[in-house]
Amino acid sequence: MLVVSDLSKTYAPGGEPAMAGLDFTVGEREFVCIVGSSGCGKTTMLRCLSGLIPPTEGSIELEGRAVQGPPEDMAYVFQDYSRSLLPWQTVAGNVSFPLKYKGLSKAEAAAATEEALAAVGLADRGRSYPWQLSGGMQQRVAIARALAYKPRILLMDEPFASVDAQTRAELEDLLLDIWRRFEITVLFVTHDIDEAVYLSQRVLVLHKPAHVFEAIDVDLPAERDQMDTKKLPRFGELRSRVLASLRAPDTTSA
Amino acid sequence: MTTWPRIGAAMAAAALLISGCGSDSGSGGSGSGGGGDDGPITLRVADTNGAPLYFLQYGIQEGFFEDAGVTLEATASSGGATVIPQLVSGDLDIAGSNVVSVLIASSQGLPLKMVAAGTATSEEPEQDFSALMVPGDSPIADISQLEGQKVAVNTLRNVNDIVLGNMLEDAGLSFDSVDLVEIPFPDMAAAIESGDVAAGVLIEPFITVAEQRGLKIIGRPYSDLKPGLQIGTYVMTEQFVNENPDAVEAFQEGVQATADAIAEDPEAFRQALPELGDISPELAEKVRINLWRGETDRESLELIQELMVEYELIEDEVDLDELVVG
Amino acid sequence: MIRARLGDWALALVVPLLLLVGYDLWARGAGDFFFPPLSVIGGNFADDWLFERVPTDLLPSLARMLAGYAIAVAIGVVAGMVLGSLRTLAIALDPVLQFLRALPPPTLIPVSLLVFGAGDSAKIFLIALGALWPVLLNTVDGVRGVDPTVLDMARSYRIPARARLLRVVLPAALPRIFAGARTALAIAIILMVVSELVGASNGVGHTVQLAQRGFNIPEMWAGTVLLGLVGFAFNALFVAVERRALGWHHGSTGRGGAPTRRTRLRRERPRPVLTPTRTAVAVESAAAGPAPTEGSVPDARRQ
Repeated sequence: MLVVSDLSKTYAPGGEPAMAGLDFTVGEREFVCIVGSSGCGKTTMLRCLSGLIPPTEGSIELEGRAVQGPPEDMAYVFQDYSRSLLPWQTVAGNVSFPLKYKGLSKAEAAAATEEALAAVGLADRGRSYPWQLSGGMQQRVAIARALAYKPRILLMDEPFASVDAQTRAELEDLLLDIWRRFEITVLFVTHDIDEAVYLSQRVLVLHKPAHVFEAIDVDLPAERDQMDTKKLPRFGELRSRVLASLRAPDTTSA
Repeated sequence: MTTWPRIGAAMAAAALLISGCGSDSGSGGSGSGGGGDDGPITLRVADTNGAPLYFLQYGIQEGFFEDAGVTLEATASSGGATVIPQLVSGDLDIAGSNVVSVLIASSQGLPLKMVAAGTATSEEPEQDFSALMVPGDSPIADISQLEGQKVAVNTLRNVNDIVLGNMLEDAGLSFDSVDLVEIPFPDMAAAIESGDVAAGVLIEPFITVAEQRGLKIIGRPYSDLKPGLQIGTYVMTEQFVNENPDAVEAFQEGVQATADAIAEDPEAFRQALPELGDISPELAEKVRINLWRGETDRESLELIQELMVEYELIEDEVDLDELVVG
Repeated sequence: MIRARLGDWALALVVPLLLLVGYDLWARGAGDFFFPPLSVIGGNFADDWLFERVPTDLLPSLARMLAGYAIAVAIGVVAGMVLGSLRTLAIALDPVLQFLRALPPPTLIPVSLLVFGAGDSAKIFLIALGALWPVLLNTVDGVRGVDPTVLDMARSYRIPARARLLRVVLPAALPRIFAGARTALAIAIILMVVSELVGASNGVGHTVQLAQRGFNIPEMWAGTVLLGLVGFAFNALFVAVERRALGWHHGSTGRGGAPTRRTRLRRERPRPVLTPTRTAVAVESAAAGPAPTEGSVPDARRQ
């Protein structure tokens, strides 16, 4: 589905690269998490993957087509949900906003909006405004917006970093549910190791400047539960492994 | 924040239009008029820029006021309507203004006294320092052709209203058959040229300047009413006159002396003009000089007042015996 | 204006009434020519503005003011959006704009007389020129201040550039634009008066000036009072329009005033330690804190 080859990005010519030799693939309907410490270039990577900025070197292919500018089958969920929602639109207005530019008729857009809001559990909040909702609900609106867009791949930038632990747990499970039901591919960036292991099938550990240091398969049972899964010894092992990988000194980077 | 437009509008209107308006009317002089025996009396006067002001400055320059025992401080004013409130509030001792503004103010109850005559127009119509002018190529040759059109004057509710009304009546039209628009003298010639207004009433030196730009004169408003018509006057408040009779006399002396000197030797006055005002020597040679009599011309006032009542600028005539002390 | 209850209305009237009564008492006693008693001013007001001079002077004045204001807002918003979006153009034009903006419109009266003559166009030009700058500069600020996140979001969803400008940038900049438009309204009213002091043949400012020339002081005051009322009325109208157009902004920055059903719904999930005092504090801090960027919601409160 997504093939990233030797991606590099240097902002100022002759300066330090923010991303160097990023290489990985994501298969269809996979749930892949990317972890990295602060400053390792996650943001740069995401902005290149989403087509918002061009890379200096390397290529990105989505479903066999090169990515040059925001691709059609991708939806991006931002970390700062409150700033990515339009305050002058209702919840339903926000969710349906991108749809009219995708060529959907009003009826089609309304149907997609309703479906997406139901999927995230906000079916009755269509008429509210973002500022009337709590943080967790706002992020759900952003996810609904991405869902209604019917992308093939969902790019998520630490989406649950700014919510409290309880809400985060709920949202994680919601996301897993949506992933399964809608059969989309998810690329999820986080700095939370627990979250990465819990959610994904594979964890990519990023080192600075953004490149994949290690790929770790998460061989946990497919059914994830906040309490049971995290009690498994394998969970702890994987967790430690990711942590170690994060902390390991990197002699392969430039 | 919510009342800014209200405050702003009120302040703009008030500040612009009541400048110099004070809180005690009739506060009169600043105390500088007392005791002429020990040294010259200082008097503050403001008059319209142009010929009226040049007259005073000439008198100062030639020492006529000094001889009479007055140190005169003369400044330019922006017209009769603003200088009279300044007089009443005590900012000035003497106000130089056109007679119409003074008559209106007096009829409204302001306690003013005319102490001396200001400018008058020449006894010869050709030397009238006012003119009704139109563009050089205009087909209009007479005021009767201006019916219903716009005519520029430098201030409204002024002697312009009177003399134009009189000219219109002489031509067989009603006194208000033209649309008066207020435009300052410096901008008036351009407005006439461009056609915004069909004609305008100018005074020297603007007439000569306009003639050089090609405008032509089709009427002599002041002379038409009366050759030698008195236009300007000097006023003091009633209180000041009562309290400072010496100052009044001294000022009158200075004015008369200056008026006589100009009448005797207009060339000397003409030559002094470039120094006194913003006039080039070439212009000074051509401008038409006003007449100054020193003493108020009652006939002019009566004529003007009659028309003012007729044209509804005032309701009743003012008692000239009360008003005029010089 | 604050959304007030009846008691507040009564309170708001007390000070003006006191001022008016105080003035009247003083005016009657002082007998000052330039400060007549209220009854005299009121009489003149009724004579002139109820309603004899309304069609001949008030309506022309207002028509010119509204025309100039409309032009200023239209040009200001359009030019502001262009300049806000095109950085290089803005930098290139900045010195010229700063110079033009610093020119006090009254000093341009002779110029406008020359270019436009003594008619309505000169006055409308003056009003438009003076009212333009707050709108233009605030629009530029509003456009520049649009949250980059929301622009990224629009780009990531492949929303075309024109739609981004009109459906994202413009609404996001609207609070700033309204702020500029409000200032511009006050300026337009002032210039409406100023423009009538030279080369005018009708209008409220013209009438006031004529009254002054004729030493008709009560009439002069009546006109001044009318101008104050005009300013007051237009401002109230503006606030009403703004409240409708920017309801979302007032809600999201907590400026809505008295708690309404909407604001109570803000706290959606039951919080473990939710006491009435905590709610009050939360609502108050919401009302007091300024929004970090236009069109955004401070997220610290939402946790």
